[in-house]
Amino acid sequence: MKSPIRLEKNAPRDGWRQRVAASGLTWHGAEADRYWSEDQHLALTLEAAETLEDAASELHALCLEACDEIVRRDWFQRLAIPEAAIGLIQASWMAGDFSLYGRFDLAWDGSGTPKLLEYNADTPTSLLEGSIIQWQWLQEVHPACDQLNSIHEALVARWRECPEPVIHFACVWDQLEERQTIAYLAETAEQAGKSIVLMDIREIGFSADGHFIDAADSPIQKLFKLYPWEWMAEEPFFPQIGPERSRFIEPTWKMMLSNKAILPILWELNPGHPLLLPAYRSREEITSQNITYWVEKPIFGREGAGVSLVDRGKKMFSGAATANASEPLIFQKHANLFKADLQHFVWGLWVVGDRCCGLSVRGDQSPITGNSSRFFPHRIESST
Amino acid sequence: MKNPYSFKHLRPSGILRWSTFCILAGGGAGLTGCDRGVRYVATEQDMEMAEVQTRVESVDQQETTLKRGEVANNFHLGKVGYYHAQVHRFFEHPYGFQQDGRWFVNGEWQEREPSSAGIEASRPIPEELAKVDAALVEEQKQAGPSGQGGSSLGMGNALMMYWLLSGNRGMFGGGAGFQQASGRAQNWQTGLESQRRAIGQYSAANPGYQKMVQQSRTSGIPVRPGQAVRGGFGSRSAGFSSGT
Repeated sequence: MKSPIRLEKNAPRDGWRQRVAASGLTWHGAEADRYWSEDQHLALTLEAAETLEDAASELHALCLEACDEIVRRDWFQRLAIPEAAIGLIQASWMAGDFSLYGRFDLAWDGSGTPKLLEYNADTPTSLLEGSIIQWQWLQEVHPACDQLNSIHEALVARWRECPEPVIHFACVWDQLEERQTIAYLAETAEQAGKSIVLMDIREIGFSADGHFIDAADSPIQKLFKLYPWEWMAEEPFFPQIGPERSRFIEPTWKMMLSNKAILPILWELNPGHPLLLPAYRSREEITSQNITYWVEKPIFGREGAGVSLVDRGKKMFSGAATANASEPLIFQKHANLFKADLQHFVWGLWVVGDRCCGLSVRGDQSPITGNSSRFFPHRIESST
Repeated sequence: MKNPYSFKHLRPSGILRWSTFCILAGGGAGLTGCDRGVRYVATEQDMEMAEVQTRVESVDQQETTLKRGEVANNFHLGKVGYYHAQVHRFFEHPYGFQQDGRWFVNGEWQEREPSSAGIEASRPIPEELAKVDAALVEEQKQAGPSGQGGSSLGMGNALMMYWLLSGNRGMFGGGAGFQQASGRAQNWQTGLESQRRAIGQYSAANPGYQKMVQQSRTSGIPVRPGQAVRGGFGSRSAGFSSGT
C-alpha cells in the first residue's frame, strides 16, 4: 500500500531563483542555506490532504468554541493577557470583528490523526510561498497534479466581505518578508476591488478627533497590521484603540488564539480529542499524567524560540533563545512529526475566514521548526 | 461550524469588564465617560514645554564644554550669536548659512559649500568674551532684581554665558556682567533644576508629549500645535520577526 505522504526528489527548474524572485519570494535563500526547497517536495494522497484539511476545519471550530468559553469564564489570566486588553477582546468577540486568516501548525506522520501544535492566528507569514510560489511550482513541475491550495481565491473572496473600500496595510517596513507579505495581501484586496495603502506601522498617527491616521494624515478605515497584538498591547497607542478597535485586522479577539496558552484550554475543554495533544500549564500537571516526553513552549514564543523537547525531565533539544526568559510556558505532550531524509516536517494549514483553504509545509533537520526551516512545495497525486 | 459573528448578549452584572462597556458604547464616535487620558496631537502647551525642554537639554549638553571655557562650532548663544570655532568668534549667521548661492563661513561669504565635520570646539578670543559679558549684563537687566525673570530665552542662557566666562577667567578679567552674575548663578542653577522637574512631571503625566518630543528629535521639526504624533506602534521592530 502506498504511503499517504512521501518526500520526493525532483529536478530544479531552470532559472528557478529568478522565477520565484519575480513572483515576490526574494528571500529564497543562498545555495547552502536555502529557504525555498526546489529539489524536494511532499507528495500526498488525496486522502492524506483531506485528512489535514478536515483536521484544520475541525480545529478552527474548536478554537471558536474555546473563545466563547474564555470570554464566558473570564479565563484571560490563563492567557497572560494584559488587563488593558481584556475589554477590547471581549468587545471584539461580541461584535464579531472581521478576521482574515490564520495558519494551524499540525504534526502528522501519516498514521493516526494529525495533532495541533499551535495556531498562528494573528500574524502568520509564509503566505506568499504557500499561496503563489508553490502553485507556480506545481503548474510547471507537476501540472497533472493538484494542490491543497485555494488561498489566493479565498483571500480575494474574504476581502469582498469587508465593507470598507480602503484598506491600509502596515508592518515594520525594514522587515523584507513582512513587507512582501503585506504587499501580496494588498494585491488580493485590490483584486477584490479595494483601494490599498501600504505603510510602515511606525508611521501611524493619531488625530485630534480620535482616529488613527496614515502618513498623509488620512483617517484609516481598516488596517491590516502584520504586527502582533501582544507587542501592540505594550505600546503607547494601545490605550487609544478603544472605539477604533474594529478597524484592526486581525481583530483583538485573535489574541485568545495566537497564544500557546490556548493549547491547555483546548485540551481542558475537549479532553481526549483526537486532534489535540494533552497540554498543561505546569510541569507538575503533565508529569502527573504519566507523560514522559513533552515540549515546553513560551506562550508568546515566535519562530521556535524558547521551545524545548524534554524527555523524563531532561532537555533533549532547544530552539533559539527567547527574548523574554520569564515568559510563562505551556507543556504539551510530544507528537511525532513526519520524518524523511533526516528532516522533520510540520504541516501548515491555512484558514481564511472560517474555511481551510491551503497547505504549506516546513521542514528542518532540527525537530524544532524555526525561522530558518525550509519551505517545501507539495502536490496531491492524481488518483488515476 | 460555529459562527463567531452571531454572538451574544451583554451581561451587565456578570464578568464583562467596565472597559468593554466603554468600548461597545463608544461605537465609532469616541468614548463617553471613559477618559482617553493621553493626547497624541500637540497643543500650545506641548509646544511651549517642548521649547523649554529643548533649552534645558541644550544647556545640559553644553555645560561641560562651556565650563572648560570652550564653545562648540555653530553653537548659538542667545543675544551673542553663532560661534564659528575656527576663527574663535560669534556671528549673526550660523556656520554654513546659505543665501543667494553662497555660504557664510567664519565671518565671510564663500562660493563653496563648507563641511563642518571635524571642527572642534575652541576658546573665544577676549574681544568676543567681552561681547558675552555685555550680553550677560543685558540679560540680568531684563531679569530684574530677583534674577528669575529675564528674556524669552530664560536664565539658562545667562547661566551658559556665566559658565563660558568662568571657564576663561585666565584670559578675561571679568566684566560687570560676570561680577553681577557671580552672586546669582546659584539661583539660575536652581531655576534650571525647577524647569527640569516641571518637564519631568509634565512628561510623566502625558506619554503623548514624550512621543512628540521623540518624533521632533528624529525629524528635526519642532513640536507644533495640531501636529499628530506617530510612532505609537512599531517600537518592537528589532530582533524577532513580527510573523509566525
